[in-house]
Amino acid sequence: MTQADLGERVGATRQTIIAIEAEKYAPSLELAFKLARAFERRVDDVFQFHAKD
Amino acid sequence: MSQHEKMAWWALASGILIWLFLLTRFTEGGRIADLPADHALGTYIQMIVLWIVASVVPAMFAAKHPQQTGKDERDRAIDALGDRWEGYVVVTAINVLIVHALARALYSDLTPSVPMPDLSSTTGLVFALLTTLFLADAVKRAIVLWQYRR
Repeated sequence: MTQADLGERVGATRQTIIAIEAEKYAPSLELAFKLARAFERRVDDVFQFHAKD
Repeated sequence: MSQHEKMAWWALASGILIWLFLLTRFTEGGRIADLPADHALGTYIQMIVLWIVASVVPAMFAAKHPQQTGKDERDRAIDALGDRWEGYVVVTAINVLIVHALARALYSDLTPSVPMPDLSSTTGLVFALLTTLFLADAVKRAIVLWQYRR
């Protein structure tokens, strides 16, 4: 699956998928759930929270 | 470069060019000229026409290629940040103009160290307000471009 394909499936642009992969953009919960669903995984399998402090 | 970035570059460049057009019309010898009201009105109408033309070009492209110009949540978040900074610039610039006008009225014998328009003239007031709007828009576009690039 390409970044463009994934973006199309979840309603985001390829640039947004790239920014999420590069950890330059934190997606909304809705988009995070859509991405997890696209990978057929749970949200916490795809995203992890790292506190900055 | 995404279509949104290209549109932000277009808006920034066209905004700067239109402001330079205003600058050539409202100034003489590096100072804001006290022009007749009909000249200022004519320039303002020309500016509106230029601004509409500059806005129509990306709108036509967006209508032709809706799949490339649709905005997702990141685009909207970046736009919102740009809008917020645009608001900050407008508030700051208007307050600078207010302080300048009050200081000029209170201390008429002092010469400001920074060149400022004469807000008591119609041309000076119009140019200062239009410059505020163009400056705010330029800051918004710069913030948007920076957010796409970082």
